[in-house]
Amino acid sequence: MNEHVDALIDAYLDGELTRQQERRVEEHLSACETCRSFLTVRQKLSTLVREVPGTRGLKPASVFADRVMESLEAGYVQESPWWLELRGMYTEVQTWLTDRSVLQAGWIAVPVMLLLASVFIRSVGILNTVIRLVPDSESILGQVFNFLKPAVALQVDQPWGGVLGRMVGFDVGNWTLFTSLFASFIIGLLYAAWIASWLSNGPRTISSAVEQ
Amino acid sequence: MPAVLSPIFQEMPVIQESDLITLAKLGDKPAYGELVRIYHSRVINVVYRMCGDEIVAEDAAQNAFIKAWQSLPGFQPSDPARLEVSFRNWLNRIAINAALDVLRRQKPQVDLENIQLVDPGVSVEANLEQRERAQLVRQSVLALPEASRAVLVLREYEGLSYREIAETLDIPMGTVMSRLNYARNLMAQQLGGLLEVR
Repeated sequence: MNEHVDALIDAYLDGELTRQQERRVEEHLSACETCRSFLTVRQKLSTLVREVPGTRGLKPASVFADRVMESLEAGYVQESPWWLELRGMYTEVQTWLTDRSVLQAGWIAVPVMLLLASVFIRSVGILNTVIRLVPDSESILGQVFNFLKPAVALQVDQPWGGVLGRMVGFDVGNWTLFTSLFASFIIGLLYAAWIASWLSNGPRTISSAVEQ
Repeated sequence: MPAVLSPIFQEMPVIQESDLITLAKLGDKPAYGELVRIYHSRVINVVYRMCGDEIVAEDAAQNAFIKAWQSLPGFQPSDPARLEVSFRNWLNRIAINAALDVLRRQKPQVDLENIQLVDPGVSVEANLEQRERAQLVRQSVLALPEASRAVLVLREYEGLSYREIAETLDIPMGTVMSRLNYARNLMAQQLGGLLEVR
C-alpha cells in the first residue's frame, strides 16, 4: 500500500475528500483487503481517541470568567498592533483635518496669512528702495548675511536680493515696482475670493465661528 | 400559577455572539466576560488535551484569555460573514500557544522510551477497564510531538476541518494532512493491541 492511499484513507475518514475522490477510494476499498483493514484500524483509533474524557476545569465557568475579568481590571490592557496604530494615526489625522473647529480656524487664518504676505511684500519693496538710496548698504547687508549663513552668503558685493534669495529659496533681487504691484494684485484677488466665500456661506463673526 | 415575565424582559433583545465579539473588540469588558463564559470549556479542554494536567490547564487557559483580550484589537476575521468561526479558530490558536508555552517551561510529562506498548499479539481489550484504556490513549496523545499533537487535538476533539486547522495554526493544508497522518501512524504503533482487527 503506498502513501498516497494512506493519505486518502485518512482524508476519507475525516470527510475531506471530493465526491470524485470518495468514489475512487471506495472502489479501491472494495478490491483491497489491506486497505479495508487499514481503514478499520483508523476508525478504531479515532473512536479510542475521542473516548478519552476531557475536563470541566477546576472552577465553574462563571467563577473562571470572574477571575479572568479581575485580572484584566488589575491592569491588562488591549494592545494595538503596529499596523493598527498606523491606521489609527491616519484616522486621527483624517478626523483632525475634517474637524469643524480646525477647518474654521484654517478658514479664519486665510485672511491673516494674506495680510502677512502683503506686509512682507511691502517691506521688501521699502527695503529695496532704502538700499538703493543709502550708500554702501549692500556690502553691509552682505556681511550680515555672511555672518548668519556663511554657506550661502558669498561675496559682499553680491546684490542683497540675490543673497537673501539664496537663503529663502527664490530670487528677490530683481524686485521692481511692477513686481510689487503684481504681488499686491494677487493678494488682493485672494482676499476678495475669501470675502466671497464668507458671504456665500453666510456672514459670521469671528467669535461665533470660534464658539462653534 | 405560572410565572409571568415582565414585559421588559419579554422584549429584551438576545445578544448574538457576533455582537459580543464586536463589542469586546472595542474594549467592552462585560461583553468579553460573556465570551469567556461561552468559550471556557473549549479553551480549557484544548489546553488540557495538549498538556495533560488540569491545574496547569486552568492557569494556561486563564493566560490564554488574558492574552486574547490584549490581542483582540488586532483580530481580523478571515471571513467577516463567519465571525464566530473565525473568532473560535483565533482563540484556539491562542489556547494552543498558551499550552505550548507551558510545555516548554515544564519537564516532559511522558517519557517516550518508557511508554508501555500494548502487545499486538495479546488481546488486552477484554481485560482492561475503560479508564485504563483511556489513560493509555491519553499518554499516547501526550507522547506525540507538539506540532502533530496540536493538529490531532483540533481534529479529533474540536472537530475542525483541515482548512480550519490550517487557518488556526497558520500552516498549509498539506502540512495538516501530513502531521495528522504521522500522529495516527505513531499512535497506531503504540496502541497496537487495542486496535487489533479481528
